[in-house]
Amino acid sequence: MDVAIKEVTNKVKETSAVIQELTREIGKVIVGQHYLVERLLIALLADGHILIEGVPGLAKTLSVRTLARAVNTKFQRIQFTPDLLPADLIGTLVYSPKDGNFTTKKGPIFANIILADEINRAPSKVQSALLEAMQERQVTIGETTFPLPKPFLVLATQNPIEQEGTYPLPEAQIDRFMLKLVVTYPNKKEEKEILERMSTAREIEVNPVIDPVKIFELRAIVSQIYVDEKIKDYILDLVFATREPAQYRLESLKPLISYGASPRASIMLTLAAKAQAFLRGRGYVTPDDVKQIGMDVLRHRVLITYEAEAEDMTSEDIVKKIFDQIEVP
Amino acid sequence: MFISKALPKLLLFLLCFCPSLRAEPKLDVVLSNQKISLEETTSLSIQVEWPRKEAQYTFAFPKLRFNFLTLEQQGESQETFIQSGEEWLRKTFLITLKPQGIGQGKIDSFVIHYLDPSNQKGGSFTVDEQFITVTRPPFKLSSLHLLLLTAGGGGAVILAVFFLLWRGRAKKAVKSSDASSEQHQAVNAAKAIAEAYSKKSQKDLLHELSTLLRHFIHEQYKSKAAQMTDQELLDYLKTQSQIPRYECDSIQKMFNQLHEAKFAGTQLNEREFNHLTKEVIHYIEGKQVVGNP
Repeated sequence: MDVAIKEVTNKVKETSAVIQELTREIGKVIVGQHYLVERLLIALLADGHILIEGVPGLAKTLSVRTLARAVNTKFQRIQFTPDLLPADLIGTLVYSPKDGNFTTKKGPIFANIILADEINRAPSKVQSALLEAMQERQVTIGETTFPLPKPFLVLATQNPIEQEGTYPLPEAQIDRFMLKLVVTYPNKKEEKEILERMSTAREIEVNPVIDPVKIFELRAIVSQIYVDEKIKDYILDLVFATREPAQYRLESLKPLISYGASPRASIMLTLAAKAQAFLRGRGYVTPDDVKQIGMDVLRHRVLITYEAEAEDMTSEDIVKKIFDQIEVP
Repeated sequence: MFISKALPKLLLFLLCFCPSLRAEPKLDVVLSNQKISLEETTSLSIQVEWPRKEAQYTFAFPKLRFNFLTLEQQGESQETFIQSGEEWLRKTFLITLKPQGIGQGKIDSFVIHYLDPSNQKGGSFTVDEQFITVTRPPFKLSSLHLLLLTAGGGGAVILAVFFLLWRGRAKKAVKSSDASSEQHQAVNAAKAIAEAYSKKSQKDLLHELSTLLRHFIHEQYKSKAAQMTDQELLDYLKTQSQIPRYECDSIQKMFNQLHEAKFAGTQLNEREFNHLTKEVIHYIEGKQVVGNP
């Protein structure tokens, strides 16, 4: 192994104990949902935001809250409702009659981990306010711009059912989420375990095992993880195949895709693959890392046509076909 | 005088009415090939012969059970032939078998029952179990060429690896007076490719070698090997019953070595590189590499 890569691998292995401890703490409360927990850690390590989709009762909110408790940072849960205003989120200027001045009242967005619950229930102006903050990592109230605290992680949830009275996220804004997760039901064994844990009044204590300083240390190691040229080419092939499927012998997908993944997808896929390699205890990325995280990075970035909808094809079906066609290095 | 006249009649009586004194039918079981490749078949021939005047036997088709083998074809025939001035009957059962995978196939021990309907007397033979070794089919260079051409431009470098190993063999052939023009071309191509080989980095070559291995597995086991990651491919191969465990282990070992060299910048020394290259080529040729680098 190359000396530099070996050094990174050693660092990864040395710090893996923290991740194991973090996973253990989350596991005290969350039964199963390994996929969700692992992706939450990836977002934390790769500095990305997550959109979680799943029917009610799948521990989406509980997972995020538990992560926040284990990470010893400021956590805010914001319930998105149709009457929510941008000021309710980012803050506003409040007039003080005593001295005749305006003072800034910061909104709940000034926290490290934000849970934007049911993000599609709020109107688009509120969504825009949040998504702008996600991208810029700063908020302007009145004439003053305030940087958001670091780390800043938005975990938004949305419900795939009950679409009545919801405001679907615009495509351009949905692109800002590094990962879109689709959470499914636990299996029977897991659900029995949930029953046993949750049917008692006793509250499960979650201890903070990691602080923001440690998160930045881990992120610094993740950023050093080596990505080979062939892996970069593989990532680009996957992303380009969503834009120009015909060039990758996927002519049949051409009429089904209205817009392919953006360059942000390539960046996010690389960063997420690095974090995935970190969780696997490696100092270098392999095609397995790309494939394992690929669907979560690409599923919300491939926009399908009406023709695809008529054929009952989803963006996931398209991404899967692309993975099945592109040669792995 | 009486005895000499009566003796043939007595013998005939004994033969007809005391079946235990009759000669047993002769059994001959032949397996056409005990070692076959995955693409070949083998035939089990069961022949029974007996003098016609002794009996009119009928035979039940034997019930056969196989391991790692599939019945391709079966048939039976009966013929008459003359042996030492006597008329004989020959019953033949022919069973053609196809292997299911690489390893050892087996035909379980079986019994052939026979009966003479005229007197309801009969018997049986027991045939011992038969073993068939199934090997990988030899990989043809022509199909490799085709494969590499479809694999893209980098294929030439893999050919270089092959030619480096076969160069000696080809050169020897060219030196001989009856060397064909094809062999001349092969050596010329080898020279050109060897030049390309010297210009490529070890990592690029190992990438090409890995591509070759994947394409070979793709051809061999009809898996989408090129689109699968190493782990996915191994998981797939392990679920295939026709692929023996030792072969999966061998592929895993090669993948592990290639993996680190491809993605983590591991630099192999000359001996390790040669050993890995040989291991891949020998795997493709269906041979086993003995020893460590």
